[in-house]
Amino acid sequence: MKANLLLPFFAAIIGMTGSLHAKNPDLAAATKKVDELLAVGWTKHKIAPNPIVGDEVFVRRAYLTVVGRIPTLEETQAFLTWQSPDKRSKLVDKLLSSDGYVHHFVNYWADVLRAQSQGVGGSTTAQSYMNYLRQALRENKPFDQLTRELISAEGSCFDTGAIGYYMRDRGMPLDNLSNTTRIFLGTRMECAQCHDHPFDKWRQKDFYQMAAFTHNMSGGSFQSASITEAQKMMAKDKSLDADTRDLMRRAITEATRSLRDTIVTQNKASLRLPHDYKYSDAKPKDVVQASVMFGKPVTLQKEANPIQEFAKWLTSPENPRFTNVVANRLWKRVFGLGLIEPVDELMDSSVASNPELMKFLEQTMRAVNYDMKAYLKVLLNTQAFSRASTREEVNAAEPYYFQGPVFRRMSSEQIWDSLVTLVSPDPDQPNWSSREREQRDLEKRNQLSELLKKTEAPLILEAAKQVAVLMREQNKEFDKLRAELDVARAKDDKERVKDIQRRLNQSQTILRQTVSKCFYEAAKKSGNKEVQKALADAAEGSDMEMAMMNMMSDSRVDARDMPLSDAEMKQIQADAALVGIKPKDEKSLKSYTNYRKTLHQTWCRAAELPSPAPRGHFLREFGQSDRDIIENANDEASVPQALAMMNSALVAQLSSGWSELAMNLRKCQEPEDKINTLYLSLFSRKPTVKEQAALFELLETAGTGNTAFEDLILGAISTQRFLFIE
Amino acid sequence: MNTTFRKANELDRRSFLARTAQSMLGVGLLPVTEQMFSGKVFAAGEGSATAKQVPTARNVIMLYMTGGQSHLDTWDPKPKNKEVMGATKAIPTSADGVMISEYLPRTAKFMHHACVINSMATNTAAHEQANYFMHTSFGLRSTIKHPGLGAWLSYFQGAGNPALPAYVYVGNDSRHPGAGFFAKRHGPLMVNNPEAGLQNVRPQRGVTDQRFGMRREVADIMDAEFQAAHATRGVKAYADMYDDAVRLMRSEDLAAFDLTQEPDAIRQAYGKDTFGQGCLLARRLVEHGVRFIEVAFGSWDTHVANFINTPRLCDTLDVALSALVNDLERRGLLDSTMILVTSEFGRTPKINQNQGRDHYPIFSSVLMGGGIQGGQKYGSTTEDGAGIATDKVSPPDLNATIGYALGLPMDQVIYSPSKRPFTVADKGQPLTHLFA
Repeated sequence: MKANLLLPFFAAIIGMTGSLHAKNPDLAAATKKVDELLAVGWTKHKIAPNPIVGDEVFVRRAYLTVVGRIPTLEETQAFLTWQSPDKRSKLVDKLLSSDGYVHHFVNYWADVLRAQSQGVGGSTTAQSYMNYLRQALRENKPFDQLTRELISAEGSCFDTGAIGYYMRDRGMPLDNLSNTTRIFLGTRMECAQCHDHPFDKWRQKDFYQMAAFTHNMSGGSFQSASITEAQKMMAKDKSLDADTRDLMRRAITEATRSLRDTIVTQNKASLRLPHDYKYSDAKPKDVVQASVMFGKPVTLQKEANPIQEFAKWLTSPENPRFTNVVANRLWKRVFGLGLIEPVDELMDSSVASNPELMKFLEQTMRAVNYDMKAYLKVLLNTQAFSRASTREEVNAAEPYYFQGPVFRRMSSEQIWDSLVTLVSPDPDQPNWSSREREQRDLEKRNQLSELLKKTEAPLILEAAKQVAVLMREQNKEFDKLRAELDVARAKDDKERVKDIQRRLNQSQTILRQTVSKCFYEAAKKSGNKEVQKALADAAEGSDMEMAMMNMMSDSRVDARDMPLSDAEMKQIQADAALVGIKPKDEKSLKSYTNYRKTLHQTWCRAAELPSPAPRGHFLREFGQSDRDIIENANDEASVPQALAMMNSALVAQLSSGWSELAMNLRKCQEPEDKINTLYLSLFSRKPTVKEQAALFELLETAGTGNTAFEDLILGAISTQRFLFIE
Repeated sequence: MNTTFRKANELDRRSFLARTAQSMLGVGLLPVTEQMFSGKVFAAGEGSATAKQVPTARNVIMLYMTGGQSHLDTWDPKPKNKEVMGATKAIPTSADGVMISEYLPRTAKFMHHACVINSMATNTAAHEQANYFMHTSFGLRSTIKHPGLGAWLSYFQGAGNPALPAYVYVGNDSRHPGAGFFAKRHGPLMVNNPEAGLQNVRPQRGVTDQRFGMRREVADIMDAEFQAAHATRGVKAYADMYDDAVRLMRSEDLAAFDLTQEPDAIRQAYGKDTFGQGCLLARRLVEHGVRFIEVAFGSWDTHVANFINTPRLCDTLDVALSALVNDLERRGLLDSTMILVTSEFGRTPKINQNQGRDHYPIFSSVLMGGGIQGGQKYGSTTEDGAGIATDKVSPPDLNATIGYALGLPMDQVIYSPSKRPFTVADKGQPLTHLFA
């Protein structure tokens, strides 16, 4: 498609009536003020601002900054040929309201909050937490509200994913508080957990007084009145011997296995100073009264909910550090460096490189009521964001006055997401298979918990008894297998040993089936109509017993089952024609359709993959945070990275037949067009005359066959130019 | 045509090796991450071990039994106590007075090299926490990540062979502490499959030298103007890294990762499974100068059917471990290489309702070679296996013992980027009397 054909489509999305920014005089005025305050700084420090960059640099930078990936070929061409005086501002609007924004900022907040899909607190809560973050960013939840929800979240993960905040630090409430002050108040208190802070003013007692608000937040597993009651009945029942009781307990554990770590509750215990407390202002093991470290004091009334009060204080516009930290964090997202560095280690002596600007940014954040997109809009519309990045090294020891953004390597996620852009025709599409699977798992676990809650205690007891009978039989099977194993090992019969292992696994499967069967029978006998209805609903007309088994196991989703709209189907058929598949060649068409349906599993945005990506994944190799520690990503170069770029099967897919980049090159006839397309796709600009001449010369020796263009693509991807943001 | 390769040939090997060392696992662009804080504000490092000696071990091969190995069914059988032992029997070994489980008959023949520590005691019976404690000597916290022992070795003494990583981990535990708060390059190179060799060191099929060279030239053309305009450390680091990667592809040290160079008999002897081949890879790496290799193995979490699962796991361990000791000894490497077999915790003396054993904070570890006096036992558990009878040893003590063998400065205080003070094995004390 030619760029001029695209233009109306592009314009239609964002409206031709001028950018939203221009229509909001307050935001426009704020933008102007930011530029003015920066200029004051430059004059004061005798610095000239960097020149305004051309559209080529701007479009790549804007996409990477706001949506976290390079623009597609079409997006670049549309922007470069677009005739509109305020097209930069309109582009910012478009990007902020796209799905790409959600992906990019999910990565950021997942780094800050250490959100993992397989965390300490199990996967159910973790997935619900990730969904919560996605949704919060999608609906642009004000940051203060988001923070309050995280800090005061209680209950089940089926009600709110925000409980993931406390579940993340399950069993470590003191560490959790240190993380809270670091993330939201930019204040490092982990030293003060064990002794008075050696480099800052915090006493150990200050830390404990703060912790007294949150230390009772506790992650735990599913419990219900009926199960507690069944356990009591079990303890009282004299007809049961100790062995049977143990087996029955395990039966209940098995039945509720998928509901582990799904609840956060607030206990009522008092917090005490540690036994080795060594300062004179209190005695070891003294009870600590909740008290805030700075700002407006909080007095807890008797009926008050400590975490609600704490959340209110933390996010209040009057809190001396809350607004500063988020304003500075988002500034850093746009310009590459905070006005105060590090952004999360504020001390009384911290001074911003431009204090007036910092103050104004805080005011702006309050004025927009913590609307993160509105605030970002102010920054992205500045002239400063349109200026060239600073080419010299920005020295961490010296203040930087933002004569332009900071030149930097893409984050690991930006690199990966840019590769996705080159491969996938729809780079921002969700990972349908994962999202679908999580959705189904969450639903059925919720159903299971409701069922178990409502099934009467005697019925649960009965189910546990039946499972215990089977477990006893299983033990006999174990004895038999062990006897066989002795023989097999004595003869060194490896095949036999393997077979014994297989039968052992089989016996475990039977046990799981029995658990679901027995608990299904219990639910079926329930007099509670809601249980019957829930069972019928879960079965959806098919076998109810199967539905129960399904409820207790993990879902499987086949990517090829992804539903496609007619329009999507048409698009795929059109693309298939481009690849050279004839409409009547049904076999090829089917395999191409399946390729497109499964593409999202491998080539989807980093934010749609497990958080963090598995070890050894491209993302981890390029420094993605492990999300164990706050903002633990890095941009260090390493040999394995270079090897991956040059030799990995993954990157080789960029030049393979069906990748978006390969398709776009295929559409070009002349080598010159191909080279232009390659440059526009990767670098959002055309080659210089010199570069073109040199590449032509190369092609003269190598020929212009397919392999030559494969080599051109893989050479281009292994450049530094690709990895850095100008 | 092939400019990169031409350049490479002109460089002398030594300077290449030195530069690769810096870059193998990442060039430190941010010196601040390992900046040492000099002012001692309070008694940092108090209680850390001060014992020093001439190092007895140059290398460590750590065999980590994931999931909590049953000490009773391996290194600490109670032959007189049928109730504790269930179906497991004890056998004598090549070391006088040292009995181990019948599931380790091959290893039994090499116990004259081993010191069995039967009095290991950890402070938690949760997998993740105990695993972290064993690896780092510190409790798991959500505000900091501590380095593993291999990372400390790399930090203090650098890589044994500058062309290769200082530290290699063979296994697939994504929660391995790795470099902890040190720069990434001190962390282990992670190898999932020991037979796959180093990842991505060969061009894709069909990519000839000529085509590979063309790709490098394309990159040079496209980068020339960019590199001139942005001569920052970051850009230069990447330029170097691509050059280094190309050189590594041609390096003879790559052979360290190539198990196909081993005779088939040797490969069979270690066991043709991931763990056995991992142990073989460890030996090859030691020969090429890699000083710390960890090989993880198993799912020893035998809550159910312990007496079927543990023998099966032991078979694999027994074959690989006995082959490793034998091989190291024959090659004269056992004196300089310490083998450690350990786990996060042990398992209950009480056999549960599912013929399994549950988590228990008491367990055993085994040291061989690297200056250890063989044929001995250290510490003991009570006859019912429920408690420590003599000479309790903590994971920090065990790590201090290895640090002591390697000659690490255990009382040297290192500050994390968050300016918190740490020493190698925290307050662990080395068991100096275990050495010959």
